Amino acid sequence: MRIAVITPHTLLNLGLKHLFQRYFDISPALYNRVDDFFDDTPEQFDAYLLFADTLMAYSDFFLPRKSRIMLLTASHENPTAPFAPVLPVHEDEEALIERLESFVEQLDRQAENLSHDLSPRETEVLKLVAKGFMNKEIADQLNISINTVLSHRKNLTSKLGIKTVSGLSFYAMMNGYISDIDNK
Amino acid sequence: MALINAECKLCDVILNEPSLIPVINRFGIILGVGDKSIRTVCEEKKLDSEFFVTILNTFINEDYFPENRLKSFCATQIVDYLTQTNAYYQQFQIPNIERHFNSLINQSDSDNNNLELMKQFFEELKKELLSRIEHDRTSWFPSIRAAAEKLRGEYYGEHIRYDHDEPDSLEEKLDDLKSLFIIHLRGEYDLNLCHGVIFALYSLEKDIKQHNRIRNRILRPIADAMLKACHEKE
Repeated sequence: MRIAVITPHTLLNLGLKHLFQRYFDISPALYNRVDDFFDDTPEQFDAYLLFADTLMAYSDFFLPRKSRIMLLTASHENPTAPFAPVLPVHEDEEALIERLESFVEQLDRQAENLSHDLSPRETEVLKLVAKGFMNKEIADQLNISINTVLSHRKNLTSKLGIKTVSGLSFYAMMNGYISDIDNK
Repeated sequence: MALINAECKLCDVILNEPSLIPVINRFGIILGVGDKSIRTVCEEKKLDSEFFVTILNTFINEDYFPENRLKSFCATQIVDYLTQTNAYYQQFQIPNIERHFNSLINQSDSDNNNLELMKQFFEELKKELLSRIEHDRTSWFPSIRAAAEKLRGEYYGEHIRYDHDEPDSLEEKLDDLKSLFIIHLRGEYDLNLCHGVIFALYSLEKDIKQHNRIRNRILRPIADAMLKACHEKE
């Protein structure tokens, strides 16, 4: 999971990084300057931690990503109807960890909802990959663009946890998608 | 785990991190290490204690990789070490996985052909690893030794360049094989033997990752620089 922490406070950023690494095995990217963040493919992240003023200043980017934001707050009052999960930075360590824990859980749940079994198209691509066809040949056979083939392959890898062509071939044989490694 | 240094007792280090046992074996140290410090053990075995400590540290801490220090060791020392790790894969780890795999297949439901296919995938991986080892032994390592002989203490540091890590197909295949076991295993099988295969795969993978880091990020740039320096000399 890729997380971006965007605040001007170096020590705060480092503290959050420490908590994420220590308890969640996640290494967030830290940005002291919002400009650096936007120069660095901001879409690549699965979640964002920042203060409300940054969010408001760049609402075009952040509002559509509302479900993946955690708001840092410096005030001692809890907002009545929170816009997103909050992280009051003055709280003690245990409370902070608990909040981060439920945020990470929320993100995992969202990711879980996205993945299903292989789609029919993905299965077709899997069969052809397993038979040893190149991306270009697969695109021609299925009448789709090479980028679409690449995106199916990316989904196959993330759904099955298998990256190499021979790994995919053996998976396909194990599940009866192909009977033998032909055309290899 | 914290970094170790030459004054640490070797026995404490190993008690904390038993996965180092095969690593110390490669340096000719076997169990029954007594309670001597690493420095004393190295003196007795005529080993470079700095090199020894650095290798142990990179092995225990995946994030620790002191490139500059590793590059300061002589290439033949690194070649010797990697030769030993290759021998370990060939003589112990691969046969160990095969032994467990064969018993797993024999003891499992014969309708379960998934295991047979996974074994075939492992055979493919094994073939790739063995052919890399063969190439190291007959071609790459001898060429590095010859270049070291030719340069004898001459400086070639200005040629050392490190580009980037290529994805390694052995590491990726090991990863895939683990996924086939962990995510996709079906049917009836002997649980204990299955654990045996999986743990053996994990330990091979850990070792190969360390080997590859040293190989690709240290030895390859040094070797390329040496060969270039030799070439310029001629």
